[in-house]
Amino acid sequence: MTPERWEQISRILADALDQPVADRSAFISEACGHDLEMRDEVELLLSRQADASAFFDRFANDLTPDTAKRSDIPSLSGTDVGPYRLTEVIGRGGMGVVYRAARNDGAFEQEVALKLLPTGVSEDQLQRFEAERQILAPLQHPHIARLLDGGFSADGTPYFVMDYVDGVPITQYCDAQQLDVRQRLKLFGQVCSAVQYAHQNLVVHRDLKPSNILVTDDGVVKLLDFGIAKLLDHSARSRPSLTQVGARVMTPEYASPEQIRGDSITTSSDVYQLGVLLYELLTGRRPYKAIAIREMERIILEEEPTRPSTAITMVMDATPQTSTQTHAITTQRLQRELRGDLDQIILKALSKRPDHRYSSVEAMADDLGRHLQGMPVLAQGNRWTYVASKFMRRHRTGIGALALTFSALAVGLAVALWQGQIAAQERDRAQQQERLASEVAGFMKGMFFFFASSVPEGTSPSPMDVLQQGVVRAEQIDDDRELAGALLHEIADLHIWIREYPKADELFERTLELRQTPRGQMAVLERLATSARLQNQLDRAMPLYEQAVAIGDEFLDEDDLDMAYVLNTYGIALSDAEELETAERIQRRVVAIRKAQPMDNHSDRAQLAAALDNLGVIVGKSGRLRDALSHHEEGLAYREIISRDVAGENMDVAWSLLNIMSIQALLDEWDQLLEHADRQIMIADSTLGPSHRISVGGRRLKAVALLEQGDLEEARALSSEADTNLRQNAFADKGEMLLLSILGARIERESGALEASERRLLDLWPDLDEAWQSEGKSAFAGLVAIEIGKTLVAAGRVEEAMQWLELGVLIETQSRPAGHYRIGIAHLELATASAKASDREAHAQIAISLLEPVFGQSHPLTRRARTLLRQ
Amino acid sequence: MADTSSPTQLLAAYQAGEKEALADLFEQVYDMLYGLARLQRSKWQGDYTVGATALVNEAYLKLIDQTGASYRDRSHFLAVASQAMRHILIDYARRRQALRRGGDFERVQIDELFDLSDARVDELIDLNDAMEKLSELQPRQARVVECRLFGGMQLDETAEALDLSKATVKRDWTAARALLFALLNPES
Repeated sequence: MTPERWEQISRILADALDQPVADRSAFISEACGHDLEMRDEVELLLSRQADASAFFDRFANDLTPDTAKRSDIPSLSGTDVGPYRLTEVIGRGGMGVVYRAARNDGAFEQEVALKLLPTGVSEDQLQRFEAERQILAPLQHPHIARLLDGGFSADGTPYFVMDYVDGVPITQYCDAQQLDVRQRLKLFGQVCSAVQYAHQNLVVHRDLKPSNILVTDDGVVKLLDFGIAKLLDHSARSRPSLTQVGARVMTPEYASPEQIRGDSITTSSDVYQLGVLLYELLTGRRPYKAIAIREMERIILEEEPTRPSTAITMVMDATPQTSTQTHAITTQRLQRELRGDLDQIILKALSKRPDHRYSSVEAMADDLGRHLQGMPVLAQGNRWTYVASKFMRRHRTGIGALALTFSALAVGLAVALWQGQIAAQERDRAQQQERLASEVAGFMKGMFFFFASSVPEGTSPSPMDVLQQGVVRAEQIDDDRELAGALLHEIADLHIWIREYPKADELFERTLELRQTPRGQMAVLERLATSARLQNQLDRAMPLYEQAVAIGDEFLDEDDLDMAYVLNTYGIALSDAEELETAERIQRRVVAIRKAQPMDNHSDRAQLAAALDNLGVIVGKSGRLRDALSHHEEGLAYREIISRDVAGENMDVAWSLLNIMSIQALLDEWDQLLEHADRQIMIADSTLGPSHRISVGGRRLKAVALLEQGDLEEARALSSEADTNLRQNAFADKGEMLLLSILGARIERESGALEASERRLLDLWPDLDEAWQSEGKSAFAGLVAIEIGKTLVAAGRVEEAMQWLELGVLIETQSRPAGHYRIGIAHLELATASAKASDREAHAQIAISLLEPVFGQSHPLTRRARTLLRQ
Repeated sequence: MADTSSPTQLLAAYQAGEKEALADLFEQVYDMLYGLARLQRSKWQGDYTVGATALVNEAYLKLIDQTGASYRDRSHFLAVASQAMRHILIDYARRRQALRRGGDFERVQIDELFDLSDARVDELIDLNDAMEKLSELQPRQARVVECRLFGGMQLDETAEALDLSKATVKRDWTAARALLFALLNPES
């Protein structure tokens, strides 16, 4: 084409457009004459005229937002709007011009940002503007730029006045400061706290993006334009599609799917936009590649975003810098940090469906907080393997103080605020506990009532049915996670009480998801551990206890009572596992915490007494009997104080007395034992029933005392009474049953019924033999082997007896901690039976070395050993 | 002494026919616009994209002593600034494109001057090429597009700046858009 020809075409085209539409073709034909080629060209250009206009309008719109395009409106810098003098333009856009301004009446020196809206809004819109302004005005938050004022200028143009923020967009700040992931998350926490606050005040931002989130030089986040988008959106409502409106009100890259669809906008949109922001903060890219707006809309509605940890490895095409440059770390390291939790948290926030996102900004911030603390995050679901791996990792790496920035209840405030926050939380906790306790009690009652009224008359609901009903109802509570968690916890706990352990485990795992505070996590893990312990699965219980204790150590005070509770059951488990040294250390901690309490109420006393009792048992198992006795006696003293005030008998006293009696039996203190015995039996019978092992144990020990004192008949009577009672008990304790049988065999031996004694003991043997051979140790096999030996000695079958006694020594040596008196007793019996003097002396020597430190020189066992040595 | 001259003086010299004043003015305006764009990017308040054309206006307010400045001075200045803005945008778009095409992005860092998508960046460069072709056919029309598109100038401002009638500007604007659009979107 030549310039001349183009000049002609230009003129014809422009003139044709001045003609009425119907006349245009004719006009062109006439103007082009016989040049049909030119006619076709003009026709073609004309046919695309509308598209061309639209294209350039859109292009111009990108380069020239509405107001600025009307450059016939001169800058108003230097003029007054209301009581403000405009200083300079600090931003221009389709929805107005923003000026820096100050009061012109000298009332305040404060600099403000004043946003002048475009003129030409309707009366109706102005009223809405005023109404909205009044809703927004009360928003007061350290991370939200306040809406200070607003009104209409002399010519009726609406304006807002906001805090002037001297800052840069958050993305730019992070990159300039080369913040690492944690620091970025911390800053993001400030954003969350502001948005959460606004949501609590029923204000949705709708247009969260870096340019609305500034960070000042001293690192303080300020959110701009809260709620303004909605306000502006009203005035733009008449516009039909986002492609037009969106370019003005929203940046398409940040629009949520529901915003694109034109659906109603809720707080969930802000959660989505926070997801986009976090994505960009951590990867340096936006989740979707920016291309044409219409394509953008489709992508946001349909396509899943690339995982952040993958996005950072892709060739940078949307951002000027690699994220690793701006994070000042390697891609691999960044990828490791993003992979897993952060990927999941961001993708959850970016879910297409609002109900798949976090239910609130708080929930999202909580999850980030948990991530920083190394706790399991909600976004990952509750797979047990994941939760477990989380704990492993947490305790490998340790956690900085920064993690506190995101602790569960208050999010993202400056670290300095934190100590105060936590103190306040702890104060609130007592009230909160009280509220929960009363709600739980009410619920529990209601649970039975509700159920009772729904089963047919004449039938009685089983505890399991009632509890199942409770679970269903607890899980229907979706507006109060804490209450739902507390309820499920109680119900799960009841399953432990009724020994439905697998069901309890299942419920506690669900509870773990609801009780997300460190305290809650610790409590639930303890219950899971205890359930495992009660199922005799110590291997499974121990790591759970360790996790619970580790959380307590990390987040709670050393003297925290909930922590003491966890340590107490952990101590019992350690004792069961015969880890006596650790058990004792833990249990001493519990006693110390309990003793620090004021002791002015019975609950404090009862808890301390229980801790002392447990410590006594552990110390006793370690062989330090005097020490153990003093713990038990101290525990008893506290229980006696309680008994004086409480009507009826106190079953705890029966427990304490039994513990004391069992040690007195070992210490040869039979008179003292008999002083306690009758009271112990009476209290146990009346509170626990005669078939309970505590009642049976009391009778057994009394029988042993009588036997020692030579009252064979009374001993036999009492022993067989205990035996009969125990057989009434469907859950008869195996240990107690064994001890009773051994006593029976002893009595038979003493009364000369050697065959009966031998038979009874040999009946016990196979099970014990199997147990000790498979476990490598046994609490009872050694006792029984020695008793068999003694019966055989009495029967004169010394050689056979020696084999049993040697076996007894072997088993006891393997089963007890080094230096245990039980090993000493085994050697003593072996020495007694040994015909060879050298063997006798050797075993007697060992016996003395083990027995004397525990029992002292005057104890019958020590004396017997000395006698053997002198022979 | 172009170096020491203020933009106001340079503008006056240019209007008086000193052609070399234009180059100096252009340079100063370019620097000013570039600085403004950076400033606005890093310190802008509000939820809106800073428009390139807003900057052109801002540059006028900052560069030209407005006491005694006429409408004609302003239009002339805006025309220069529009051209400068076109160059800034194209330079920027080229850097963005180079970066994207696997340029040495480890070391090259560019100022994120404008909030433009990749698609728009590509369009800018295509448009610039098309405008070069248009210049060969009718340079006046390309100048009109420059003023209208990159300077956000109104019809009468453009007419004033380019010493044309409003009718001519209007006709040029229509024809130029038609041709450019056809060049950018060839009929398949």
